[in-house]
Amino acid sequence: MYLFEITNFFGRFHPLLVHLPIGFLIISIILSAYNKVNNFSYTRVLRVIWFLSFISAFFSALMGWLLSQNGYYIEEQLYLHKLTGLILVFLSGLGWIFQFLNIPKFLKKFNNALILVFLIVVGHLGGNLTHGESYLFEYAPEPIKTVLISKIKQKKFEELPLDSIGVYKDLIYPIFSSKCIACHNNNIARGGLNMSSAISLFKGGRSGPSIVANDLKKSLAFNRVTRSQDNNQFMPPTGTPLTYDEIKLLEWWINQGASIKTSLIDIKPDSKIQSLLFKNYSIDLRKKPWYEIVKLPAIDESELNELDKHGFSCKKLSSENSLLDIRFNGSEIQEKDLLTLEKYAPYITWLNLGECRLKDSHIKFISKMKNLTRLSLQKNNLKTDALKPLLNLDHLEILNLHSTKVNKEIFELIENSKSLKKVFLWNTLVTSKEINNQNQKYEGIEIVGNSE
Amino acid sequence: MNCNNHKHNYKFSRRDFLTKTSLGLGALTVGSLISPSNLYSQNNFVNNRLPHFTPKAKRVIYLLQSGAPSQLDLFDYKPLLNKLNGTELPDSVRGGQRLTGMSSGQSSFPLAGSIFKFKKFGKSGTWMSELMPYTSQIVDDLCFIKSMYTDAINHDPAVTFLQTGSELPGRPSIGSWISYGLGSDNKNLPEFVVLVTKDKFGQPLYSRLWGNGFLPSKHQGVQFRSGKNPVLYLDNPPGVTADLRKEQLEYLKKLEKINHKDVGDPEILSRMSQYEMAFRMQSSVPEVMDVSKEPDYIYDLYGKESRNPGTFAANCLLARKLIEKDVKFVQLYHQGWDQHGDLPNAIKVQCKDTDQPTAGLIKDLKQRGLLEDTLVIWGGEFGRGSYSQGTLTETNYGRDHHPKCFTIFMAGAGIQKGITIGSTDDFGYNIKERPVHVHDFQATLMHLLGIDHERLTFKHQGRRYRLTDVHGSVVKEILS
Repeated sequence: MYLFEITNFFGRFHPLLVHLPIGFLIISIILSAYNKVNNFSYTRVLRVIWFLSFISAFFSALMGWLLSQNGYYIEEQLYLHKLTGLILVFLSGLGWIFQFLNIPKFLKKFNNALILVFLIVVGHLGGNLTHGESYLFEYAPEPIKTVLISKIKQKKFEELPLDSIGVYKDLIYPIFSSKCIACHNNNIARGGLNMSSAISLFKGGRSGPSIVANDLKKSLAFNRVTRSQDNNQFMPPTGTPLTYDEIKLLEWWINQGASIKTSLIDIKPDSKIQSLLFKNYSIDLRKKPWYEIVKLPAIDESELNELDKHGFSCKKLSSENSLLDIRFNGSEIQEKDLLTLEKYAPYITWLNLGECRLKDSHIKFISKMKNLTRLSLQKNNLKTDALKPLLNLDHLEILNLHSTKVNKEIFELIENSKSLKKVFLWNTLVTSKEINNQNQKYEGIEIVGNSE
Repeated sequence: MNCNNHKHNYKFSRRDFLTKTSLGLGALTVGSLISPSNLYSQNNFVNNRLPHFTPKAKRVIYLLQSGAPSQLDLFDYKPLLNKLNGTELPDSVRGGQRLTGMSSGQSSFPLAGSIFKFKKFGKSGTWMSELMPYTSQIVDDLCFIKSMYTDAINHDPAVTFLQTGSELPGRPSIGSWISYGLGSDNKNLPEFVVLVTKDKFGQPLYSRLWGNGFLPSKHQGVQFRSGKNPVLYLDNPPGVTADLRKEQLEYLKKLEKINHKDVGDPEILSRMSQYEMAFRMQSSVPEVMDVSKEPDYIYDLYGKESRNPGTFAANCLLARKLIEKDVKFVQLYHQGWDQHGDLPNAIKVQCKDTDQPTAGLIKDLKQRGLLEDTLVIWGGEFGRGSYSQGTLTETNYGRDHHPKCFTIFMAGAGIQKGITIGSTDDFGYNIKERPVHVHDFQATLMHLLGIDHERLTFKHQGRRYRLTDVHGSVVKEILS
């Protein structure tokens, strides 16, 4: 693998080096042909080389300017390349002229240094234009990459707060910039449309406005990219068409009012867009569960053997999460077992004490487990009143009470809880009708009863 | 089945020694220069680093419908096929797709619309055919993937591919990988249990489909049968008491320890742990297989066939009982979906066998809160084609194998409810949106269990293997 990456890394310097032998070889041939005619001095050789350099730089710039007219390049990237290119032509002309003048040496040296700098800059910018910005360092060894690529790479959305992700700025504009702006920019606005700024985008082109808020039919930018690919009005006419997800995102943005300022926190995307954002941009709009947020130092796993002896099976949630998932395996739980369990109270987040003759008086032990998120107490002779201490649990989300002796007064407890999301009450003294009524009354908390 | 036999005679072979000292240290230095972040790569210490992240699902029930159910008659509603019923399948749609030898000789490929009526169900408005009245009632708890596709076009390679990630036999089954990666939650029962519907015919099922491949043999699926002996050869022979058996195993253990010290074959340890597991299963299996205490309304939920041991319905009920006991992976197989001809009649029988029990199982898991951390999967090894195999009449047709698209559904832990992802074209022939390859499905299944499918590997014959080979990406949009 390393070998592959390292060869690839060096391989990408090919376009950089390949131009050198072209120039060197041509100069060698010219000079050796010239040499036959008359045997000339070192100064004259230099003059010839300087002249050839200037002329070739000049024509190369001229051709480059012609190439830029085709509109397949992005204006912002092109601008610097053009500017530095022109300066380089000028400097190389200067270098040639300096060969005939008697000027201080330091000036010549200074000019040479400048030429060297500009040569690297122009060449690199040109390479970026043709091969893409990450081309050169994509396979670079890790240390080089971390220094260089981190600045080039696009934003990592998962690390950003949601209010700083702009829908237009970070999601929509990049689509335009990769698929449309090459032909619709400040310089070349095909069809009169310039998509490089929001103002000119909304202004549209000769056929009409490209974006009309809340109106997909009138929004030509949407209309054109969704036509049949055989249609001669299909956009983009060359290159990769927009992907399904890109079209869906564009559609959603237009339907949401096509605002250029909204951030992801202002509009709540529906589940389809949410999953699209998660899939393509790793933007997770769903709330993290408590057990992923709370961080506790890891417990020494040999300590947990104690729980094993008391009949608990006990697991860490994952290799990265030290909270515990605990189940009692015996048929009857004793107070001494719960006292042992209590020692690990803050670590316990999932607890299953089903079918173990749990008594009402045992609940107080559970109420000390502050980070409990899922609690299963099914198949025990528990009564409603005994469960009151559970209100102390600020993060309890799922409570399983099926096949217990709770009655409809449990609803009061459920309503008073700030965190509960789901309660299982099948096969209790609560009737299906009562459950249905409650579910209609409180939409935030799902109560699961008899499935019929 | 351990092919690293040369190692048995030495704790460290010459090759091991050389690899680990010279190359190992050398590579470490070079590696750290080139890529410091990869220095301590996860691959070397698989088991104590699992699960890789917090799992959404703790257990899986996989209802494998062997023979490939026709998605066009069950889930994937294509009114265009009814409109064009009897006309030729356009070449532009087929796109040169290879066919099986069973229909490639046909002179015509008439499109066959489903004769079954489709309707939208639930708040999610999911299309379902009349063949599955019970499952139709719970669509809001299900997640459909209508754009599954696979590589193989015939049953054996396809089902092997689905189960092991490779068309060639010999790799470990999904359940074995899970058992190997996550271990046991209940020391008295195996991690991976297999239930096969009795008295069914059709495409053959071999034990290698739930085999451990090159993983240690304790990770293989254990088949539970209906009737007096759920696990073959588990009971003591007449005259042998439990104490006697225990004593015998103690002595055997001592001997095998000596043997292992001399030979070093890991299979000896595996075998010993299996003997001990079998001993514990002598009491735990009859307990879990005893369904006599189930109330009548539970039998009614799964359908009346659930009282008949060995049927799909009875197996669904057992699956729930096994899940309640924290068995990690329960795999059911139901044969008979391979309907090349007479599909309309044959599929009715299949649906009658499976529809109510499947829905019953999901409802039962839900009311017990088990659906919170159990994943249920229903599906076959590939789909069926949109043209008729054999003669198309007004009421009868057949469908040949079709690997380019099929439908599966899932429910439970970590999966969004009431959604459908992916779609097929109007001919039900090609995938239009969001293709999901079998390896993607396997990667997603592992992801739900807290496993990064790229990091659960096993070194065998000189290279590291994984369930998804070098493929697969998690289908993120179905995760809740």
